[in-house]
Amino acid sequence: MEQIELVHVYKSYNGKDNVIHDLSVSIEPGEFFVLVGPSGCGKSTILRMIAGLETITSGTLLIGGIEVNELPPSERNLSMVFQNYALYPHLTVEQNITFGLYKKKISKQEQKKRCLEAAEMLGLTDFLKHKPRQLSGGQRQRVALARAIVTHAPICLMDEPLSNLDAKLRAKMRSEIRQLQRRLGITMIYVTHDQVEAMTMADRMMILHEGRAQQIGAPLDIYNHPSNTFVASFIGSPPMNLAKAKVLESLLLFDNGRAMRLHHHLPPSTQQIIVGVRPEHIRLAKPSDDHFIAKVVNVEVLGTETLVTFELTKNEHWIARWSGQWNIHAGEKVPLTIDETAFLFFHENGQRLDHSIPSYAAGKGEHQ
Amino acid sequence: MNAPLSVKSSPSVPVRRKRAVWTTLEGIVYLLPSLILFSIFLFYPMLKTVYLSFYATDHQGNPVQFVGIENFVYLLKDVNFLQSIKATLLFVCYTVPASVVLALCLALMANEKLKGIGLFRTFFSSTMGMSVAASSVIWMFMYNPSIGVINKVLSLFGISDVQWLLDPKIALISVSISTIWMNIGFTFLILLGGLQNIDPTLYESARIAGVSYWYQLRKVTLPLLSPTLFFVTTVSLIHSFQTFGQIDILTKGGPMDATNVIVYSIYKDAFINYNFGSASAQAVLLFFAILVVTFLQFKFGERKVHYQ
Ligand SMILES: Nc1ncnc2c1ncn2[C@@H]1O[C@H](COP(=O)(O)OP(=O)(O)OP(=O)(O)O)[C@@H](O)[C@H]1O
Ligand SMILES: [Mg+2]
Repeated sequence: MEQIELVHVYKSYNGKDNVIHDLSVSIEPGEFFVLVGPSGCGKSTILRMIAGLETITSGTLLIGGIEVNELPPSERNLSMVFQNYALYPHLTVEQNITFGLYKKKISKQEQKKRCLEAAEMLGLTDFLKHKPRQLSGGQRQRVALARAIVTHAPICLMDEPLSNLDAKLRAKMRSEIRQLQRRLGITMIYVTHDQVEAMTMADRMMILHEGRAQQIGAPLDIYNHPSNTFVASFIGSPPMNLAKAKVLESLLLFDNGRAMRLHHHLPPSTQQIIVGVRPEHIRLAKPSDDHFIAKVVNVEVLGTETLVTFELTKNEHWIARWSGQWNIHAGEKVPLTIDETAFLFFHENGQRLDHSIPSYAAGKGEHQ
Repeated sequence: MNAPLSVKSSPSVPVRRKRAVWTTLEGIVYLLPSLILFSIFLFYPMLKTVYLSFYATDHQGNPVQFVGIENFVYLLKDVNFLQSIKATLLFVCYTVPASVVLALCLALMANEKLKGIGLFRTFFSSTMGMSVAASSVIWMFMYNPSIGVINKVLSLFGISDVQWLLDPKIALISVSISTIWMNIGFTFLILLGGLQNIDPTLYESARIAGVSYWYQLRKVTLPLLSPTLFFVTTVSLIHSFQTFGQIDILTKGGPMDATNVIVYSIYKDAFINYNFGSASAQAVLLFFAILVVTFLQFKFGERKVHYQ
């Protein structure tokens, strides 16, 4: 278990354009840390810099408190699982698993023991003599995991290890990897572009966009308090509903004349803001509620929940998510209501306005 | 209920057979252009050669008398032909391993990510762009005992008057050296292509494991390159057995038949001595020799090849 720290790290491949901008983050020992972001945002680049496969253009990388910028990959005491698994096609599963032990001058006996241990842990004992091409995708993935485990390295890096698997296997491997990490107490840095994977696996996660860290924190914190509109729409599925609005005291004026009255004063400083609401916070109104009427444009019944797309304004559609199966059809007009605490406000430039509506558990009861 | 259904789902036997005939015919039509070309330029000359090898011929190459295996029997007793076999085998042994090993070393170097490596890649593969005739002429000048650059350089070290192409002891080696030089371009390029085809994450994984260069070469690079190595060796081998151009230009089979490899001997028998029967018989023998060697290579060499 070792701490990994990046301090003002920049990376540029061509000497001109920075692919990573001023990244500072500290990853605690034993933590499951997830790097998440859309394709091309620089996740792999960061991972590869930590592994030592790419040079760091400027800034410092510390592992266990020691600067390791110039240390070759093999001396950083870490293991890595590649997206395509990087298994040697000509070696058997067993040889693949023990390949990394060569350098560590470990006796043949100990190698065999560790290999069997890892194989047992991952259910690979029957395949030790097979070649990788004789294995299924999930089994190959496990071989790659086993290869990382046998080194007993305190740090493990994984680059989208599940992206080649089907949805069901992915869900299974997700929990397997998580359990393994807990059991072995490894510090894990895990790259994914899948926000579900990030939400379900991470102790803490970092959201990246165009080489800049957008937010670092625990999944639920990020879900509930996204620091900008990018994070708000990236995390959560369906994403957070966002719309531009003008503020008039406690009135929210959307385009095309829709207005919502809140019982609190809104951020005073700006006129034009962006309003965000998570789909699960938009409810069907009871007769006593403050409500607004909206036209339904699409309904998706998913079994356990129903996604209702409605017109907020002429050209802005929001999605509401209700649990259960609802018999609503496109074209119907429905009364909707939104809990006031559920509103999030962002500056026009995307940054969240630090204006939480005062917790008003009491007030909630009052006007329902 | 069942009976009509089953008839419907699978067509009756004659219908199926008719369809099979059609698809076969269609396939043959697609193949026809290349079949015709192959027949005219490959199969017909080949059969004709086999046919001629059983005949004594006149000076125009017309078969005169059927002699059975006489031509072959004569050849196998002929000292000149045995010398040709020896020269050919020596030539193959000199050129094939050396070209492949040298090209492999060059390819490994050129595959490193270094500044300006593209320039070296071009240099190393440039001999591929030169015709055998042109490079042979260049080498002929270089080997020239009085004006050649090689002897001039050697004379700086006190070695003088090496008769590169006239000394029967070293003529074959001289020809081999120039052949290796000519072969390297092609072999290098194919091997470099093979190296670049290897998944770079395998090397990254090895870097994280921290294995040494030699271990990596032995355990990762060579096994993964083995299909390419096998291909290159097979092609070089066949190519080497069939060498003609450089021999014709550099030594004309001399001195004292030292470089009279089989293909050159065939040429001499056919177009200088007008002995087409004997030439054809040699050609047939060479064909089978290459066939056997290639077969052996596939049988024993391919076992060590890891196809992915
Ligand atoms: N070797 C390289 N040379 C030049 N540019 C590169 C190189 N590798 C990556 N880049 C650039 O760096 C940026 C980040 O790439 P990176 O591979 O880190 O993205 P990523 O977040 O891992 O994306 P993905 O989810 O698609 O894997 C991209 O714009 C890419 O074009
Ligand atoms: Mg990536």
